[in-house]
Amino acid sequence: MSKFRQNKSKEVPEVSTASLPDIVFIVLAFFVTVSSMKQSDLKVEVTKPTGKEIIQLDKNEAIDYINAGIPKNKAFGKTARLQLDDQIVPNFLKIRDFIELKRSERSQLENDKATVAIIADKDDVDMDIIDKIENELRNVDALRINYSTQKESLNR
Amino acid sequence: MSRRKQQGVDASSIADIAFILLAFIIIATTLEKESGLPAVLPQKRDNPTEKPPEINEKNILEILINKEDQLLIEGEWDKELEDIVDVVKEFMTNPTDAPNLPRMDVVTVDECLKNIAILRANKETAKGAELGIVNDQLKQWETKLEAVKLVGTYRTVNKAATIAIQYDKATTYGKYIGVRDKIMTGLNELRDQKAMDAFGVTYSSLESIRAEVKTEEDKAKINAIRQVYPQKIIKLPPKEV
Repeated sequence: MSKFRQNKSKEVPEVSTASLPDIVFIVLAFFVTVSSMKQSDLKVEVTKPTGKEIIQLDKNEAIDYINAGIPKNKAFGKTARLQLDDQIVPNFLKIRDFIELKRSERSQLENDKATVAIIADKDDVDMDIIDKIENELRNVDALRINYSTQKESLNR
Repeated sequence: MSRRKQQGVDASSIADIAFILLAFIIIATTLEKESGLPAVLPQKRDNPTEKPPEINEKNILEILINKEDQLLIEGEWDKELEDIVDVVKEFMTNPTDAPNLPRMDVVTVDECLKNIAILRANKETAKGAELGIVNDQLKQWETKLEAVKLVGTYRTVNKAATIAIQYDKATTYGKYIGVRDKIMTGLNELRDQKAMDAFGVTYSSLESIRAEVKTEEDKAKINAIRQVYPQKIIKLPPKEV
C-alpha cells in the first residue's frame, strides 16, 4: 500500500505571485481613470474661503482656472495678482486671451458647458479684483463661473 | 556542452515597476474635485445707455457689505452672517403676505395651460423681435408646467424678486463668499423642505447624486424645485460704503 503513500513533503506550496503585476496594473488603471492631473502649480498664495453650501462641479465638463492672490515670489510685489495657467499676468486684459486660447483647444459643445473657476484668497483679494475679473469674463461671454470654496468642516 | 532549455524571462520585477508607476501617478494626481459656489454672470448689455427696468423697492432684498466687512441688511446695521438665512427665507416665502415683501404668485396647472394656449395663438401672428419674446415666455410657462406637474400647485415669489449684494471695492472676497453661502443656506433649507414634501427626499440629496447615475427624473425634480425657489442673486456695481 505504500504505493499510494504520498512521498512529497508536507510543506505548504508557495503562493504564486505571477498575478501580482496584473493586480497592480488594474489598480494603476483605476487611478489613471479616476484622477485628474494636478492643475498647474500655484504661484500665488491662496487660502480659499469656506462655505457650507458648496457644490461639486461635474468632472466631465471643462474647467478653466483663474487664480488670484499675493504672489509667492516677492519680486512680483506684495499686492494681489492674477495667475493664468503657469504665469502671473500683468493685467486683467490677459483674461480674454486666456479664455480664447482655452476655447480654441476644445469643441463648441464643450465650450458651451465650460466653467471658469475663480480661485481667490479670502482675505488678500478684494471685490475690486473680482469685479474686474468678472467684467472681463462678461466681455468674452464666459458667463458660467464658480467661486472656488472649501467645505467649512475642514477648518474646524 | 549540453543544450539547455531556454528559460523564461524573469517577470518578478514587473510588479516592482508597476508599483513605482502607481506611486508616481498617485503623487502626481489629485482626487480633489473642483467645488464651490456656482454662479452665472449677467450678459453684457449691448446698449449701455438703455435704462434698466424700474424696480420696486419691496422686490429687492439688499444686503450690503462695507469696506470694514460689516453687514447691513434691509437698512439695519450690525447684522451677523447667520441672520441672512432667516431674512432670505422670509423674503422668498413672504409667509404673512406682508406689504413690504415681494408679492407671491400661485402657479397652477390650469393657469399654465391657459397661458401656453394664449401664447401659442400669439405665436402664429407674431413676427421679428416680438416672436422672440413670445418664444421666451412660452418656454417659461412650459418649464413652470413641468414643475407644477411634479410638485403640485405651488406658491413662489414673483419673478421681479431679487437678492442684491452691494459692496465696496475694498470688501474682502471671503466675506462676499460668506454672504453668498448664507443666502444659499436659506434657499437650500426651503428647497429641502419642498422636496421633502413633494418627493420624500431632500433637495441636497437629489443634487448630490453623481452625474453618472443621475436620471432624467432626478434632473426634472431638481429643476422643479428650482422653479419654486429660484436662485436670483445679483451683484450691484461697487460703491463707497
